[in-house]
Amino acid sequence: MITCNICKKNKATLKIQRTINNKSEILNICLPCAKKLNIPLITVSKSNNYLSKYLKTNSTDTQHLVCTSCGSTIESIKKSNRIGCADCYSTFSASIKGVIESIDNEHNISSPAVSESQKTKNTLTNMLNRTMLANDYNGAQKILDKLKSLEVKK
Amino acid sequence: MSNPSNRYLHNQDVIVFSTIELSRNIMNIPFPSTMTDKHRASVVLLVESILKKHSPSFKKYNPQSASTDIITRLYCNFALDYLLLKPSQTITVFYSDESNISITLNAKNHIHIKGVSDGLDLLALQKSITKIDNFLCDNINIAYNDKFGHLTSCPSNAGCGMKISILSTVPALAISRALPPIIKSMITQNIAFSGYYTNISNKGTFLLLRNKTSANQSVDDIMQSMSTLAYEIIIKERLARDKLINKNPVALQDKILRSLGILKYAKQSSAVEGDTLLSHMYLGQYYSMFKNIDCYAIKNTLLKTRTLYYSLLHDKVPIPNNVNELRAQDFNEVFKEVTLTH
Repeated sequence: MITCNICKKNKATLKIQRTINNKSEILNICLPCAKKLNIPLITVSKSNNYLSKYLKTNSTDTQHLVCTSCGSTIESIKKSNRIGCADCYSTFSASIKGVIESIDNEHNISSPAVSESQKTKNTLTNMLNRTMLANDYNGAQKILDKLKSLEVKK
Repeated sequence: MSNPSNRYLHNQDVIVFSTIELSRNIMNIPFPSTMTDKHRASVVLLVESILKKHSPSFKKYNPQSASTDIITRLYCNFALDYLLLKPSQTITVFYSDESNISITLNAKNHIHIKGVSDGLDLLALQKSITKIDNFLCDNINIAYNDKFGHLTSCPSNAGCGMKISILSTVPALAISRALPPIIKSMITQNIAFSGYYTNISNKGTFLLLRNKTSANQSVDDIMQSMSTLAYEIIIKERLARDKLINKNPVALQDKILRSLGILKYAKQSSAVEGDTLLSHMYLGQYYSMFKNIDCYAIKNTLLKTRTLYYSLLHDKVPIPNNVNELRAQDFNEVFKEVTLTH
């Protein structure tokens, strides 16, 4: 295990290159130390294994269920990280719904609703398109700010 | 150096390309993770017959019997994943040169429709893709229910089944060291920043944005949030470009011309260095410094100099030993005719 160069305790999970006076050095650091040092941590994700992460296999209700169409079980879905067929959605409905809810919570997504705010957003987006075509960046920035404030309200 | 007045169609000076993808499955056929060869063949047969009838411009690609030329075209023009195009894959691709839309069968889902546009042109792209999606959905019993929407192999992709990816080049923000705080301020939980941008070293100049999920979101929601984010990047990058040129034009010109020199004559070039140099070419294009090159050619060079792409082309696993030499040779070839505007 590579330990953190800063705290010397935790396991290092990040490799940082820093340059001081034209001299570069590599630092292995842990996540808490990176946060303390205010190093920008940007999500770099190639794929999200949501099923392995959120599908609950310990529920007795679903543990012994088998999809009659493709033979998938909760365990096999979790292992392959893929749902077997369309009928699995009915067979494991509650579990899959739980996965979607967990993803929504993780990403802070609310259910879509075509509301007044959506209409306003569409109007603003159209305005933004026109403003960008006219190369009016200040105007575009103002529209972006309005769109952002709608996102916050949502 | 010219005044940066030369604006590009669909903001191609900042947005390299954008893609829209739709995932669909067929009712009563197991999804690709559990399907047999017989199922696979039936999916191909079904989709092929519908395409022949409704959209004859689509051509068929079979990884086992494809030429290098077609692989290159699919990779560059249709932004298909190079790992999918490997001869060992069991997928089938239909592609249309008329619309830059491809339909991949039996990858993660039965049907994966993908459209790509140079720059940012999401509305037009969505229109073309929806047309294809509509005639497929009208003629195939698509896996859909009221509770979950489109049923996909991963539930995060259920609902409308739409993913949007936008690759942008942000050299001015990188030079100004303004990128990490901007990303931090913009980041929303549903957007993945990845790919070409290397956040650790602060050297990255390409930024790939992609919505992580489509479940519980409408097409309008995804389109709107992704295009807003893209516009925000375009505005910030252009403001940074204008600021840089006003601050120290000679230093900036020097940086861009040195990059051109390396691209023209280097004998070896790493992937990270290559990305930085190419992003400087986008900057040079923005300031109208060069002749005999355009954003489209730079984009193709960027795609064709990915390390994994060389391994696909040269059939070497995992990576050819001389990849840095191959990359430099490709750079030399593309940029040899590039001259300055004055």
